[in-house]
Amino acid sequence: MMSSETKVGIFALCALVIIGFITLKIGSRSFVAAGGYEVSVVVDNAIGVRPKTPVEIAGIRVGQVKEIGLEESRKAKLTLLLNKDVNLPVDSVARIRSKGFLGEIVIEIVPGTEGVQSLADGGALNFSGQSGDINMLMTQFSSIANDIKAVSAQLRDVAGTDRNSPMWQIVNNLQTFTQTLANNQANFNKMAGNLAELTEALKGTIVKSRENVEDSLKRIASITQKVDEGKGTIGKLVNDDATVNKLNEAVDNLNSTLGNIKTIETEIGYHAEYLGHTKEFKNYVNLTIRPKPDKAFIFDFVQNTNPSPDRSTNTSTISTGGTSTTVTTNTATVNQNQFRFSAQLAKSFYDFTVRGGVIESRGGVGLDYAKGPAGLQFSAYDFQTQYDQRTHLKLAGTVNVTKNLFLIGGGDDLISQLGRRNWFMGAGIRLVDEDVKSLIGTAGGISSVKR
Amino acid sequence: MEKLINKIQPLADPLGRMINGFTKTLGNLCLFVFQTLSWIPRRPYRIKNLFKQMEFIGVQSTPIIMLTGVFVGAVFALQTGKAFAMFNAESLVGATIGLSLAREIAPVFTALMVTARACSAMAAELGTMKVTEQIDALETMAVNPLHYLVCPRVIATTIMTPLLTAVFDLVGIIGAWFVGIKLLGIGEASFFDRLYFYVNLRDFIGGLVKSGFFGFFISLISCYSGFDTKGGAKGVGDSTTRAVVVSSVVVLVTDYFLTTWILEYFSQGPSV
Amino acid sequence: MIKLIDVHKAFDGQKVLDGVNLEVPKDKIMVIVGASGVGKSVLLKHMIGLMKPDKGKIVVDGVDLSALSPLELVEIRKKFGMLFQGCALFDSLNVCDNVAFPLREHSNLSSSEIKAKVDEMLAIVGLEGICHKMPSDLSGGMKKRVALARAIILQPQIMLYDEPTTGLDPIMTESVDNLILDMQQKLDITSVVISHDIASAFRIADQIAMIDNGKIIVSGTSAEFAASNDPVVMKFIGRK
Repeated sequence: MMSSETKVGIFALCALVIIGFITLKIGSRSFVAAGGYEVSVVVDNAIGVRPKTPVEIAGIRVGQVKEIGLEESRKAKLTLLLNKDVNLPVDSVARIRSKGFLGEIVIEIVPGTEGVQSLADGGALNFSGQSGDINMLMTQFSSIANDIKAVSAQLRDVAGTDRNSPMWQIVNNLQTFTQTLANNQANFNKMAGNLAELTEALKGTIVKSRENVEDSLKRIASITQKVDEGKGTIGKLVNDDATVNKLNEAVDNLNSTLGNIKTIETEIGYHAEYLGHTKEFKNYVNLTIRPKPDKAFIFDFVQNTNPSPDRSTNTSTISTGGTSTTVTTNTATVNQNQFRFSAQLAKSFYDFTVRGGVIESRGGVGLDYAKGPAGLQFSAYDFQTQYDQRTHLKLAGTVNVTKNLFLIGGGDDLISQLGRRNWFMGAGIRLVDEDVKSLIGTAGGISSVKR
Repeated sequence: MEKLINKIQPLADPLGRMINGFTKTLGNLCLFVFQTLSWIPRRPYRIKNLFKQMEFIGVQSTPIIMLTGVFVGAVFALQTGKAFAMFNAESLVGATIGLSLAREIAPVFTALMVTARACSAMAAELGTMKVTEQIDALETMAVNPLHYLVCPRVIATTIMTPLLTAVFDLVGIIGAWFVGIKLLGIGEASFFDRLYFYVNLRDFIGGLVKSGFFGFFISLISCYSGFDTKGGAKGVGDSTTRAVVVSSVVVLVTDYFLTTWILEYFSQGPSV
Repeated sequence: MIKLIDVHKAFDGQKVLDGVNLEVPKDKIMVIVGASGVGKSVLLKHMIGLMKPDKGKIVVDGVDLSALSPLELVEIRKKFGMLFQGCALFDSLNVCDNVAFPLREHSNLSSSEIKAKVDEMLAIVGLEGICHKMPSDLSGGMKKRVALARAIILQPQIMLYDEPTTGLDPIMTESVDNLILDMQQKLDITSVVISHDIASAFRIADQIAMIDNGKIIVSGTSAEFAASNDPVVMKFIGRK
């Protein structure tokens, strides 16, 4: 029988060992056990950095942040504790890097030139700035946006009013081409006849050469078998595991890059409306980018044959023999076949979508309602009233026939005074980047825990 | 006026008595605490008594503490593992469990288990001694009952609860490790890396300090409850129940204040 | 030896002692009798300072108990031995440890000396060879004797007995009475016995006092007590 002193002693010993063990494990000096040295680095912004934040060189942990403090009331000073066997040249630089999507922060040291004098205890490192996956991504996105802006600006210039511009030339050429096609109807019929004869002849030939074909097929089979077995260069390439691994790796890398933008959905569409009153076609090319399911950027290029007129006022003073008369002329110019563009921000609430921005090159807002395959779209734009104009109102109903095809119909410029009221009907196609999305979606959604 | 007084009186009477009783109890408790504290440094030091209590409170509570610790850690890992999997943050399971164990779960659960196991027994034993006049007998033999009975129990509980908390911390992490890594398949390296990264020494030590306070409170309350026993076996039962209920409530309530005071003071400095 | 001067005590507004005046002579056995629940035990607890009077003085050996600090009270208690009604043996300790308890607390004797002393005391009360039994294994009479051994081991000057014979059979009663007388003769101590057993009282008492309604109504030698004309006393001792 043990005495209670012995029992308590054993228990206390165990508990103290546990305390010591935990202390060693989570203690702030646990990683750099002894003989480490300190260097400091002054950074602009220490967001996310805290004591024990790892310090890495080339992805290998070499130390940790010992403490952080304010430097001259405007910058952050990090004191890093490094392993003593890490030798850094004095021109080494440190930077704050975020790893992964959760934004884990590490201090990365990029060693300087070899052979330069080593950094001593208490020395200072230079700071080279912040970088990180998300930050980098954002920067890249903004530069992409700038590019797009520049391109669209050019496009606008190209598609301008100048009848000699390349865009117009293309349209003219197309017109000529279709004209020619129409004129050569007879020739086409002849060609079709020829083709029919040709296929008839071919049929005969194929029957005759059937044996040849079978022979060829056998050869092909033997070649593929060889490839399978790894004979020959192609076979080796196809059957080499290294190739497969490299391919997988490449796909993985792609996935991890794309994983970050997995939620962005792009939609490309085209539709045409036939305006019943003026008997004209109006064409829309649409690009919709959805960073989130309930948010969208909508861009449209609209080729409108009957746009609202541009108006201008000219005031001229005519002097005749000492008396001067002021003449004011209001000019309404309708520039047919002019390209217009829309750029809208949209946000969805339940079945409703509110959008606003530029609609057909004018300021405007819109409200959409969608339920199942059917939807209603209402837009109001061109609020100018200077010349007794009325706001351009457009109401349209849409029906999705398939996932990609839809019909549209409704009324345009509903309260116009100038008899420009119009009804229209049309159809269009819409392509959503389903394939890309699903690919990215699976790549990003893999989790180590089964749900 | 008289009518009004007549109406109010039946309501005010018991209320007044309740307030009176409460202040009296509180006053007695304070006096009890004060006297106990003043007796602690006095000779003779009954080391054998102290070790006996330490064995009862500390050593004999270890199995139950380990059992609860393992399962608390395990169930915690299961829940956080599933929840964090929803946004691919399973690697944070270790850190979450480590932090909550060190700061809250281990001190509070240990205090509650010690209350349930040791403090209830304390109240029952002292209560029985009270109703069988053993406490009076001590006094007639010129031995202060506070010195002989209460001081060793309070000291033993105050020392043993933090040690049991440390045990709870360790086995809790073991339970979490088993479920998290062996069953849910969270990476072992990330589990422990994040744990060591996010859990600071002051979280751990703060938890131990807190549990020391818990041990002090629960043992004093239970001893007071035992000393305050009146009547026979029923009185002993009542005081035991009261000791457990009041101790548990006090643990949970003071936990908030201790966390605010001690840990806030404790975690001052650059590393938060 | 012990003087009680106008001692008052009330519990929750209910008066238990209402001006008790009593003097216990040195080296005599005083028996205080009274019906159950009139405050006999309370009176006894006042004598040893377990309770403090609401009003009045208790003087022991010329020292006023109510004027003492807790530490001085501890010192004066070493003069007392007390036998409780329910024996109040520590049930976590065995018989020997119970008897040795006061010695271990208050003397610097070696363990062998303590052992010898304990054996001596157990011999006095007529118990031998039960050293390692626990109190729960003992009968009522044995418990009483162990408690008595524990009470006398420090050789007190004053012994207080709280209902020593209650709940015992007549044979055991007589043997306890004999024990009390024995103590008196062997150790020369002042004894105060609380009892409602009048036969036992007459057998051991030098002095008898009767308490009723919170007051001492009669106090004197056994003979004086027996001759008292107080109706309560007459009723109590069964004299017409």
